[in-house]
Amino acid sequence: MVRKLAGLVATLLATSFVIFAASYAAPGDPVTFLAGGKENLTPEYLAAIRAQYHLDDPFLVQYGRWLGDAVTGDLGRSTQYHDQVSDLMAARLPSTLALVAYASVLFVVFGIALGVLAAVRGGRTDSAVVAGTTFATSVPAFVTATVLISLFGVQLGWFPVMGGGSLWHLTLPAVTLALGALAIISRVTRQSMIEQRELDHVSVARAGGLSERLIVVRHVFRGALGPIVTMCGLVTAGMLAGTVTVETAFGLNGIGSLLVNAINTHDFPVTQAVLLLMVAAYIAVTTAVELLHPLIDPRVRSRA
Amino acid sequence: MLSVRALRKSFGATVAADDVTFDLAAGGSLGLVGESGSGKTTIARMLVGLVAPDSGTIAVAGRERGTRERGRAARLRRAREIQMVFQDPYLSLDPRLTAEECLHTALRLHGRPRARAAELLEQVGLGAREAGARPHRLSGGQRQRLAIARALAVEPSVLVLDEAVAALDVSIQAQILELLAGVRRESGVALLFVSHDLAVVRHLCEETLVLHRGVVVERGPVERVLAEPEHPYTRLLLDSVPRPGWDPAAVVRP
Ligand SMILES: Nc1ncnc2c1ncn2[C@@H]1O[C@H](COP(=O)(O)OP(=O)(O)O)[C@@H](O)[C@H]1O
Ligand SMILES: [Mg+2]
Repeated sequence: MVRKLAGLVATLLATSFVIFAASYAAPGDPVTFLAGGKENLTPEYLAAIRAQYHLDDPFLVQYGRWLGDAVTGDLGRSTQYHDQVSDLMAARLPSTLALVAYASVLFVVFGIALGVLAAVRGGRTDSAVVAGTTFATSVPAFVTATVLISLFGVQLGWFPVMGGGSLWHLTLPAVTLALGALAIISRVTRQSMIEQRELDHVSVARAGGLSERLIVVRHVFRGALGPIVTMCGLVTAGMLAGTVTVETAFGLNGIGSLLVNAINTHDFPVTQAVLLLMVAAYIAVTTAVELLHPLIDPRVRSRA
Repeated sequence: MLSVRALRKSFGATVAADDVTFDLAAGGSLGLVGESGSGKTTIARMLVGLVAPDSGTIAVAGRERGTRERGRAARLRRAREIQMVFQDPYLSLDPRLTAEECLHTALRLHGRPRARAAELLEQVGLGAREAGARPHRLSGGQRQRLAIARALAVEPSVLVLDEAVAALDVSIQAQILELLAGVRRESGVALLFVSHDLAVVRHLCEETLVLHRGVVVERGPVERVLAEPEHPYTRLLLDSVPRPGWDPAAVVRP
């Protein structure tokens, strides 16, 4: 447990270093953006800005200061908005979290349901699910977004196409985000259940007189749960860092659009903080899944 | 008790069972011997109803077993006719259930009192320590004891054991064979003991079948088959299973 925790801290430290180094090495001098245009660049003004942001210190010193501040919760100020980065993120985070939560509910419920259906029914149902999910994974998110907007937003007018604030607003973005994930989860569910179905303990249960319905619920699905939960966790974790396209397509003010905007304007304190948050969120979710695993599979418990 | 007639099953070009016919008396014991791939497991799985035969019939106590039984009562009656113990208990036991829970599940399904679990555990030589353990905490021998107890919980007329000791150490094998002989004496369950090894079958069964490519090529008392194999394949089978300290001459001597 202690070793696991130390590993997590080390991973976070390493990624924070990479993130900081990347923005340090990024092309373009942040000073020119900080100064807000090429015309009013007096040497004194530039020097003042460099001093304010400590840009003349050696790289490691800058990194150390940034890291120290970040640990105490001070992520610095946005060079574009001049607001505290933590305030900016706090304002954007709820809509991204709501979007990911909504999409997760959708892909978990429908992904598992489709996977179970395909595995249990087999035959034509199975082929249809496999074909449908193959298609779904091959369509890029922005295409899905465009199709959903024009069909349900513009043609049918069922859903608002822009902005956030309500579940209603979030439905089309969440569906877009969930579609690829749903395909992955349904395939993992199907595959895992088919593997479990072949196991001897399922045969034993069948020979013992258990009904087919209970065999599927108690043996096949329960046995298949490990890979399904792991994959759901990984996909959710990936989503936290993958809302950029969907937020942009639907004009949502979330963390993803904040990041894109920050990169475009060389707002490096925001860029660094958002990337760090995404990595931390990914690590948190995957760790949670790992901690959950022994509850699902008793064999894992004994090895831990 | 168990009556198998003209059982046939093929997988594509592979014939796993060809005109297999035999009887097993109530409380009796019968060996089914053959090399790997001769069709033993397929026959065992057809008997318990996990594989549908292409043709032929399986009857227990005069009642023919259908392939797919409808309804709870029919399913449970069918389960009480024949139970099976698989080769690898690590795979055949539900990894999520403790030994006790495993037995409780089978007992509950068949409307037997929970208290039977303790008796069954004692019968197969498992103690209170093992009762609360999941399969991965048990040794190979203990796992197979539990798998046998689970099958007995259903109180079957016939118990099919498919290579039930093949995965175990020789010393453990002897213990399990002894346990099975005891179970048969006490409960009167009939045993169909499937093995690739005639010498193991000899410890448990009076009669045996020899299977070659799905065909029963020889049948009779185990001692006779060992001493004077009639079919060339049986002779080959006897020669092909050497093991340390095994002297064919010693076995053959009357
Ligand atoms: N489900 C199956 N599909 C295709 N071939 C099978 C299947 N089950 C068994 N066989 C084939 O049938 C033959 C008999 O197999 P099996 O009954 O497992 O023999 P044994 O238990 O004596 O080793 C083998 O050639 C095997 O490859
Ligand atoms: Mg076999």
